[in-house]
Amino acid sequence: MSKERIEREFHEKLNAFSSDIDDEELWSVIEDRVPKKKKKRRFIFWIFFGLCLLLLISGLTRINSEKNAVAKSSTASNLAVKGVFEEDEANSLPQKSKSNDMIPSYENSFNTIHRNEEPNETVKNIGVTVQNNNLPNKTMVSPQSSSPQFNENDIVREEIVILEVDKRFLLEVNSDEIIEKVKIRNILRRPKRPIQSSKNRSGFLRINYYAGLIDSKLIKSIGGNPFVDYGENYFSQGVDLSYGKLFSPNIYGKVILGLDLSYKKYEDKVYRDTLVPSSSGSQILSSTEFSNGTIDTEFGIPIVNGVYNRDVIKLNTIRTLSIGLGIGYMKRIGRLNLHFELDAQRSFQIDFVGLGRVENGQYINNLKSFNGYFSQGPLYTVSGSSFADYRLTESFYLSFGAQYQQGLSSVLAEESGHSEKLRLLRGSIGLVFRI
Amino acid sequence: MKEEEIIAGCQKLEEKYQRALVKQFSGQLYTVCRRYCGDDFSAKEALQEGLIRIFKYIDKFDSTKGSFLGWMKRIVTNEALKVLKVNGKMRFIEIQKVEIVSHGCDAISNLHEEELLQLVQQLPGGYREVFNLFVIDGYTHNEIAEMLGITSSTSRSQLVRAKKVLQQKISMIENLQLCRKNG
Repeated sequence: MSKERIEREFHEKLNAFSSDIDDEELWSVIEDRVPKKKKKRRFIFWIFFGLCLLLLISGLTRINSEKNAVAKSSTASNLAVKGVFEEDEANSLPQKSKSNDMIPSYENSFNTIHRNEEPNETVKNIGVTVQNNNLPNKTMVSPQSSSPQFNENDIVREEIVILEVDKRFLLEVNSDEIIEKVKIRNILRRPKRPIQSSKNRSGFLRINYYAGLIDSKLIKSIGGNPFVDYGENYFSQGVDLSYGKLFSPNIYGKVILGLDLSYKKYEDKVYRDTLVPSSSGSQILSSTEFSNGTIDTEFGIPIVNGVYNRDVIKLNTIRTLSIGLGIGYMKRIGRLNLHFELDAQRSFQIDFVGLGRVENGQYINNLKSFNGYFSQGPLYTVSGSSFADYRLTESFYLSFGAQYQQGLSSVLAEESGHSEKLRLLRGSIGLVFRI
Repeated sequence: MKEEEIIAGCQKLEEKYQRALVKQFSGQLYTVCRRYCGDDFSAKEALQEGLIRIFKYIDKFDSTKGSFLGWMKRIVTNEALKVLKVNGKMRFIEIQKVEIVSHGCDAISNLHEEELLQLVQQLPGGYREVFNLFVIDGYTHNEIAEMLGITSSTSRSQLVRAKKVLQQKISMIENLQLCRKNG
């Protein structure tokens, strides 16, 4: 039998032959590792929605309080006018009438002073028109029942002092002019909002930088055998932005948004089956140790099939975005505010990039590593923190603190046999703004 | 389901089409893996890794450069070769010269695909890879040399010996068939 015949027979029969295999079983084995369309994570929407709602409510509350302050100030100004003219009528004006013949008599009659900010009733009770034959409408204020809800004596007094000057011109200026002057002065003397003490501020914004030690292990069952991440964690750093709101003088709730970078070290070997894609592959290929490597341009990128074992050190970066809620207790001691917090966070590990360094100092990108066998996913953590905030100014604090974070079992653990252990201890330095 | 639909669906990472791909092509891809790997366990391992790789890089498939099945077969072939390397089963060995005596019986025509596949699987490591790559998958010796990290002359000699081993086995089958025929 000729060799050509053998070749032809094998080629024809085996090229199109389909072996029996249980495709359902095969799919169940590879299902976890097949890239899939990411599911819509509705809870992220709700968290952000809640966060936005909280900020909106906070903002509205703030605007309302500002409006109230303006209203109070405005009413106080009116009272001040009232107070000035009350005094005037009781003392100055009669005396002036006696001494000055230009003003022979006063005839009280109610006159409406139009002020948009005030109810008409109040205004009616305040305004008094001084009738003078020689002078056109002179507006004075008669003693009337004062509005019981305002006790802003300080502001009233302040306004009185300012209006003392006007008293001298009282009889010489037009009533409209006086009202206009008061209005203008009120505008110029803003802010209307009374100065708050820091104790009255109920919110704070905190930005913290964290740095410390992390211990994180990924675990997955592959073929019934548990594989544990052999990477050695040694450093984590991150920035947290949080907004807190006091419910009582000492208790507050907070929302947190954090971005962390953790570093993990792997000491590994490049085996002969290790794929080293990327542009740096050519470096390795040119070295003598990899002289037997081959290039596979299957996917348009060079792939080096390293043949010999080589020691490498890889540094992986875990990029984590976390969103959380917390509750805290605050104790004030002089200029110092001590905080004790408990937080719960949900983290999203975005990336896990390894950079391999070979003995001779060459670097390899995207080195196949332990991470290649694991999907990164969401993780629940709880943490306890304490901060000492030192007050620098009325609303500005410098903060030092420490945090311990413990990971809970990953959601993936339930879904596909993954789990992750996480422990994190780190210190913090930050800034706090009372708002 | 049409091949184009499957490709488009898989490129969109839709599970329905990924399942369809596995259902439709896993048999042929498994044959490729079995041809290269000496045992079914390694073949399944290669098939799994190959499928993962197919799903991962399916968006890079360009239909103008060749058939989808051919593209998948190349990926699976690479995975099978990698499995062999990892398991240390790819060795290029010398065997004694084989004398082949043909009795004129057309045994190979009577062999089923499964039996031919088993014959290929029984080839020694090294012979099997070169035989598969050259005879069935149509690679040149230079390409094989590059893929396996050997010289093209080694590839040629391995192929010659592989064919001799196969001839020897087929002759044995022929003899058996003759014996049966003659009672």
